Amino acid sequence: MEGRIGDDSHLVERLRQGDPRAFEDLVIAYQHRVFGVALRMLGSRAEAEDLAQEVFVRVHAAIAEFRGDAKLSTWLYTIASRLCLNRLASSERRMVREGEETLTRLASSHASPAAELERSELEAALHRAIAELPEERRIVVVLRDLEGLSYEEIAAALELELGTVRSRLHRARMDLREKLERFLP
Amino acid sequence: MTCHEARELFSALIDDALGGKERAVLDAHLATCADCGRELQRFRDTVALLRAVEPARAPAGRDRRPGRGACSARCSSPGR
Repeated sequence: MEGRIGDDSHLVERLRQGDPRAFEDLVIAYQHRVFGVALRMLGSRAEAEDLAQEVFVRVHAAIAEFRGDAKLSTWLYTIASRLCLNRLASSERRMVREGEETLTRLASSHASPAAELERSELEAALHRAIAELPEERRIVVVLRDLEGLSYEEIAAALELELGTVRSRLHRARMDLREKLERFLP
Repeated sequence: MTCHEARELFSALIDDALGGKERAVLDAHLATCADCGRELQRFRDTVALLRAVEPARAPAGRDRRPGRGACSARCSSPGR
């Protein structure tokens, strides 16, 4: 079931009933997506892993309160997005960012030196360009173009107006279009 | 419609998120402006690059269930 975001109604029902395997299935289904959002936002695999753990802890604690008004996936993206933005806004995180550990460098720092050499120039440029976007635009483009959420789902997850989602997404893509110019056909 | 106004709609056009009237005005502009047509293609190519980014994979062997430290065999099953 991993990788499939479709009808989660059966999984939600099992979660509500306290099926001990249901939470494991939830983690298997969504761990990579939650980790992916965190990695793109925070730029560090270690931090992303830590944040993903926190997301699932919160989900586990709150699953009984999940009313099913939104899709399960949207709820998970909501929690992950908010935790990422909160962490980026924290004073501790600001201090780190002002130091030598910049997001730009972190964006390509997760692989080993050997693996790093093998990464394509395009891939590195993409990750760097995404990492350099302002946070409020980066989260929108990550959710839309990397995770495939609809405008409505992004608006719900980030508590934004649809027009704001549309505007931030456009600005992010314009920025990326300029930065990735030399890779365009 | 100016070129600037047209280009502001490219993102919504790609996502098919334009209203009928907006779409009609933009289409009319694109039909007569080769520069904007080329710019739209570059915009589309940029979004295509983004959507082709390899999905990130969480490190294997970690059990993200609260209170668990080791991972069960199911956690390391192949992904998307």
